Amino acid sequence: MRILLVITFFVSTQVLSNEYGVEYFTKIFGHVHDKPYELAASETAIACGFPVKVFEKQDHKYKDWVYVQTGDKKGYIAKKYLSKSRPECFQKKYNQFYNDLGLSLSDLYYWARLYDQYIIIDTKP
Amino acid sequence: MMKFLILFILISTNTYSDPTETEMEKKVDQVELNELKDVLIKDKLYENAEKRKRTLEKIKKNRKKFTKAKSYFPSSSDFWEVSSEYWLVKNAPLLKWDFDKPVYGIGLHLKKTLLKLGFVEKNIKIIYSKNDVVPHFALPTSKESYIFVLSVPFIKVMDLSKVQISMLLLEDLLRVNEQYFIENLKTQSIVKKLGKEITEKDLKNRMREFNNLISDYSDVIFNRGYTFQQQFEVTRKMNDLLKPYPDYWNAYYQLCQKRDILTRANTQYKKYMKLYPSPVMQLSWLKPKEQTTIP
Repeated sequence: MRILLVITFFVSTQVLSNEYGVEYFTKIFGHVHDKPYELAASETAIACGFPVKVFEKQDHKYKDWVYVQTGDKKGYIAKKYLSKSRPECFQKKYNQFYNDLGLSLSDLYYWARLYDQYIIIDTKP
Repeated sequence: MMKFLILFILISTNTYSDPTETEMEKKVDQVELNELKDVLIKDKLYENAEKRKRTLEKIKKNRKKFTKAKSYFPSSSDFWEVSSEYWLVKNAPLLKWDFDKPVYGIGLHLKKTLLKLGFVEKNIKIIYSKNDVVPHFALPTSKESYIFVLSVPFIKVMDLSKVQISMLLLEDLLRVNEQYFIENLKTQSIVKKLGKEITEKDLKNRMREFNNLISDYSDVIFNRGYTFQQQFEVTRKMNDLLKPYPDYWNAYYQLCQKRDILTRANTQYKKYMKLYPSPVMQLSWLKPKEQTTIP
């Protein structure tokens, strides 16, 4: 019984803690969700260039989403918003202009929600 | 005699031994140096040193680039995307775009339509609005990118098919391509400064000008819309673009007919004529060869 418990513990940790690597968020703002869909509750909001630890999930049902960790928060981000290389972000590129916008928490929340609500299409042949 | 011989031999061997020792020492030194060099090369220290040097140069270059960019107005491409999204964020409570949106499959249909018509390498974002404050609109953004706002009640009241919705969005896409929205803004001062270095005077006035621009956004989208001339030009462009595709052309014509009926019959949409002048004139500009009826 004890051996079985030990084995299941290791297996379960492997499912979640199979760290894939670090990737960067590419949009101006976004949410880390508690479940893998757009309307799920937000664990936290992140900004462009933010590094996240990506875990490789064994469950491929939600193939457009990845399970990530940022700080002490874990959750899901849409794959299309992540990149292996650090992007050039508006916030850093036009630091003064961005600071002068004086965005409130509500603005940050809604800006991140925008990227949950967009229907995005790319007309690549 | 023998003694002299032995002495001579001893002296000669001694002198003979010195060069061999120095040569040996040289050889040993060389070997040691060569070994060290091999070790250094194997450890890739030279390579790493070169890599570090290149990285440092890159960091210095980027730092210079960022320092320069901080004192500039954003470039046109960066500015319009952020401004349009900023406007959407500020008007979130009014537009009510944060809701459980319906699945119409419009995105895929629009993609197919645009590819068929030759609009490749375009990045499109569609956002649905829960009310009809903005029936439909395309906001300016970066090059080859578009943000479409589309009202769900407007689609329902017009009873639009997917093809007709694609035609509606295509019309808006052409308006963005022609930069009609930017032309119609009264706040042109900031537009002229995009991508340019900021003076001290600009720095003080920058945010006031930006806020004026955002107010101007609302004025164009809610009140002023497009001019008669712009409507004529976009209708002709749609006609030329869709002529080789009878299905699309018919769908566009039917869309114009529906808009005409809506603005006459529904008082709620009387303002639509002010934003997109004269649906009845659009029908006459299209000049169909045969009469088409709404299914």
